[in-house]
Amino acid sequence: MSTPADSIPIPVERLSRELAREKERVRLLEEMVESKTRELYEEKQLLSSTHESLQRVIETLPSAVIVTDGELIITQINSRATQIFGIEPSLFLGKSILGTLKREWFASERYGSDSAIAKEAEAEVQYHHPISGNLMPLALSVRPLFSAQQEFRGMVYMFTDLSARKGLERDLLQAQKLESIGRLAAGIAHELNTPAQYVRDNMLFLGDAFGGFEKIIRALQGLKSAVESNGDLAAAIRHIEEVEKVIDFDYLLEEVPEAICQTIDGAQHVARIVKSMKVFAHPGAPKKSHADLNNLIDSTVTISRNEWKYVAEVETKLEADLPTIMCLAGELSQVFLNLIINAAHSIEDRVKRGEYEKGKITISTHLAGRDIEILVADNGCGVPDNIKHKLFEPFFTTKGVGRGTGQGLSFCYSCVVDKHGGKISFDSQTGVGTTFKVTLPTGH
Amino acid sequence: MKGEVFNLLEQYLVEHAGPELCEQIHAKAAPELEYKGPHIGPGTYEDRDFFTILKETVSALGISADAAALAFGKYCFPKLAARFGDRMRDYHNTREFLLVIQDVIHVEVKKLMSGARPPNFYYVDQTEDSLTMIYDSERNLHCFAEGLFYGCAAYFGETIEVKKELLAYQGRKCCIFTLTFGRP
Repeated sequence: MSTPADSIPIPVERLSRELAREKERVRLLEEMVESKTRELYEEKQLLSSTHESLQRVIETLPSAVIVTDGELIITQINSRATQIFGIEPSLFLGKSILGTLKREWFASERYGSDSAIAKEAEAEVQYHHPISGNLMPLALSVRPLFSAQQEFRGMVYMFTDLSARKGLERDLLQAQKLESIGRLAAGIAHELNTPAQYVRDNMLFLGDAFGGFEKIIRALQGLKSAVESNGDLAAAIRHIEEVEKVIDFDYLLEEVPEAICQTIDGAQHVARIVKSMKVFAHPGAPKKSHADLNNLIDSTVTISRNEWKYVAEVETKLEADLPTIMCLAGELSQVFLNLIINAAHSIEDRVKRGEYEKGKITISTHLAGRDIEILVADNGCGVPDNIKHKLFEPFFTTKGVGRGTGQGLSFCYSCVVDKHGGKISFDSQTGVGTTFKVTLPTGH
Repeated sequence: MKGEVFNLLEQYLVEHAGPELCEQIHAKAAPELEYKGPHIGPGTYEDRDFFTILKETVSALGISADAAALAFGKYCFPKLAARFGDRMRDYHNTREFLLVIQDVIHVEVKKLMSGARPPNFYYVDQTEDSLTMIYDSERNLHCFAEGLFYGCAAYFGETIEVKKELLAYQGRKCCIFTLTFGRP
C-alpha cells in the first residue's frame, strides 16, 4: 500500500545526484577490490617467499627437524631427517608422530606418559639406523608451537646426531686421563724408583754374596780333591774355615734369603704400579662393561700415592666379594682419583697450617641393597656452608692457580649421575672433614 | 574514521530528517570536507570530516552535539550488531557483550577493517548487574558510546542506567561509565 509520502515525486535533479553518488561509490569499491586483490596477491607472494626461505633455513640445519600440527600429524620434515632416519619424507608426512617415533624414546622416568610427547622436552635417545645398522646417539629436543595469540599449533621435534660429539667426549676423557697421568708422572716415577733402588742394591749384594759362595765352593772342591787323593785334609778344612771368616759366611746365609725376598717384593711392587697405570690409563670401551670397583679403587690409590703420602695415610676398607657392575671403568677411575686428590689437597692445607703432621683418607666400599656405596672420607678443612651448593658446578674451584680447574667434581657428577644413573653427595663440616658418597646401582 | 560510520550517519539522517535535509546538511558541510566524494564502508577518512557533518547536523536539527551523538549511537548498535552476524548469538545480555568489547569485538573490527581505531575500554569494577568501565578515545565520542550502550540494552531487551563522569587521564579526556542493568 502506498502512503502519501511515497506518492510525492522525487525531483529528477536529486535522483541524478544520488545516482551519480552511487555510481561513484561503485567505482570506488571496484577500485578498492582491485587494490585489495593486488595486495592479497603480493602478500601471498611474500608469504610464499617467507615459507620458502623458512624451508631453506630448516633444510640447512644440521639437525633433523620434524614439525607437526596441533593433532601431532607430521606436516614438515627436512632432508637431514631423511639422512638420519634413512626413510623417505613421504613416508613421514601426513602420519602421526605417535606412530612414527619410538614411544620408548619418551618412556623414561622424565617423559613417562604418552601425553608427554606433546610437551617441551630434552632427551638423549638411541636410534638403530635401518641401513647401516649402527646405533646412533641422538639429542632430542621437543618444543611446542604457539600462534601469536598463544594458541597451540603443533610441535617441533629436533634430532641432532651426537656421534661426533660422543667421539670428542671420549677423546676429551682420554686426554683428561692422560693429563692426570702426566700430573702424577713425577710421583709415579718416584714410586717406581724406590723399589727399583732396593732391587738394584739387593742385586749388588747378591752379586757380592755370590763371589763369597764361589770361594766357599772352590774351598769345598779343594776338600773334595784332598779326600779323593788322600791329601792334606786338615789343611783343606782350615782353608774352608778361613774362607768362611773372610766372606762372613753366617752373615751371608742370613741375609741372602732376605735380599732375595726383598727383591721379589720390589719387583712385585713395580709390577703392581705398572698394572695400576695400565688400568687407569686404558682408553676404556665406549660401552659399559663389567668391572670390579675394589680393583679400580686399589689401582687409583696406588698411582696417586705420591699425591697423598706426604700429607696423609690412606686406609681402604673394601668389602670383599662385591658384585661387579656394568660401568665405564676408565671414567669411574677418574672419579675416584678426583675424590682422592681433593681429599689430599684439603688435608694438605691443614698440614701446612701445622694442625697435624698427617691426615687420614679412608676409602670404603659396601653393598647397600641393590647399590654399591663408595665413601671417600678425609679429615681435611671441610667445605664452608656458603659454597656447598656450588661444589658440583663446572669451573667452580676454591683451589689456587695451577692446583684445580674446577672441573673435577663437575666431571664426577656427570659421570656418576648422568652416565651411571647413580648418586653423588657429600657431608662436610668445616675444620672436621668431608665425606663424599658415591652410590652406583649394581643392576642386579 | 571508517566509511562505515559516515554511511551510518547518512542513513540515520535520511531516515530521521529526510533525504532533502540530509542533502542540505552534506551540501553545507561540503566546502569544509577534506574528502569530497561519497564515503564507502571499507574506506578510512579524516575524523574532522565526521565532526564537520555532525556539526551541520546539530545546526540543522537544532539539538545539542551530545544529544545528536547519543541518538546516533542508539541507532547504530543494531546495524553494527547485524554486521557481526551469527556471532552475536554467543552473547545473551548487555553485560556479557560489553565485557568482550575490548578483547573480542574490537580485535575482530581491527582484523576486518584495515586502519580501524576503535576506542579502548578498561574494566574497573563489576557485579552481577553492574559494570564500571573507562572509555578512552582521542575522538572523545563518549556520548556516541553512551548511545551504543542504550542501543545494546535495547538489542538484548534490557534496560540500562548510565552514569558517567568525565576525567582527564594521561593528558586525554576519558569517561568513566557506571552501567546498571535491568532485566524485564
